[in-house]
Amino acid sequence: MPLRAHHLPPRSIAPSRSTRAVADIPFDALVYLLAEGVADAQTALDAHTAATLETLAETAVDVVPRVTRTVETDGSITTEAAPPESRSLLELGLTPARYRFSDATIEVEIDVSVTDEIGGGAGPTLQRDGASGDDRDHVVGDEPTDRLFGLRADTGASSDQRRFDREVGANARLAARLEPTPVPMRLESTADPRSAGDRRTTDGGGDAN
Amino acid sequence: MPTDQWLDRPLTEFIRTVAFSVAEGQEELDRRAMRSQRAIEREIEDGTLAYDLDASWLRFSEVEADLEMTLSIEGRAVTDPETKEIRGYKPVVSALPLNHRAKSEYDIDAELASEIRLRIAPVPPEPRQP
Repeated sequence: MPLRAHHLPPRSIAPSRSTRAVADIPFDALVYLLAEGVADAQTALDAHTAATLETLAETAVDVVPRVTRTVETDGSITTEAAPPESRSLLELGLTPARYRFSDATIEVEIDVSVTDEIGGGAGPTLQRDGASGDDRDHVVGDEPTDRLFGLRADTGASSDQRRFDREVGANARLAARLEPTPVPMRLESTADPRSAGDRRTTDGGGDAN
Repeated sequence: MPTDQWLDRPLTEFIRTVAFSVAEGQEELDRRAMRSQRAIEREIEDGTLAYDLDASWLRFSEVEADLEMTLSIEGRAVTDPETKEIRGYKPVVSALPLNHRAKSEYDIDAELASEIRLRIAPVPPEPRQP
């Protein structure tokens, strides 16, 4: 398979997942993790397309390239077949369909809380004492600058609602809509046009669907 | 590691955090697609992959965040940097995320909650001047 497992980018979380639920995660990690699910599935679809392409290229069948029919002067017809040649299914015009998510919308309900963190780490990225922003002139800089402010997303309220049948609701809703975008133009322009043109002819220039 | 949980923070910080989260998520998606693209390009150069494939690029076409909060206006002291005297008070809108903990501890009426709706969508870059 051309697109092998090591081509799949590593997930941002450990593959061996803990069975214990995490109480909350940084808000920005949540945004990316939602998108990563779609990206993982799309990469798997691409890998499947690549595997199908390879299979079609490797599978060879014997094809008679031409058959000559000759009509003699006496009206008799003779048929002469050329020796069969081995051709791959890809050469015969079979191309794999390439599927992609034309649009994916993920909507989650979460509880948002504001936390303070000391030092670095994943997640919140904003300086609490505001190196940028409207209120930077008005923040008293008495507190340590390595304290970071951040939003954390929690689904504990929804879990409690299901577990204890309590009337609690999440205080935030996040809806992310993802759609495919073409390869950036600068990436295409930096590629070798000759080799790119040669390669483009093999798959018809992109999407097969 | 989160150490303290704040009751409320200025509204600007919430808005900034949501926007930065989306931007960082998009950046990470782009990095991920770039890694796949480079891996494919390497395979093509090695001759292992004989067919051109492009990595799939995804983007957030729209992200909508609804935050249910209670808002309050506080006067933040503006001090003179030299004399350290308070010049005045600048009004700052503070937001308190309305979760069940806040409702029960502070007896907040959920009917009075404000809803902050943010919608973020990509825009094409401005054309550069030659």
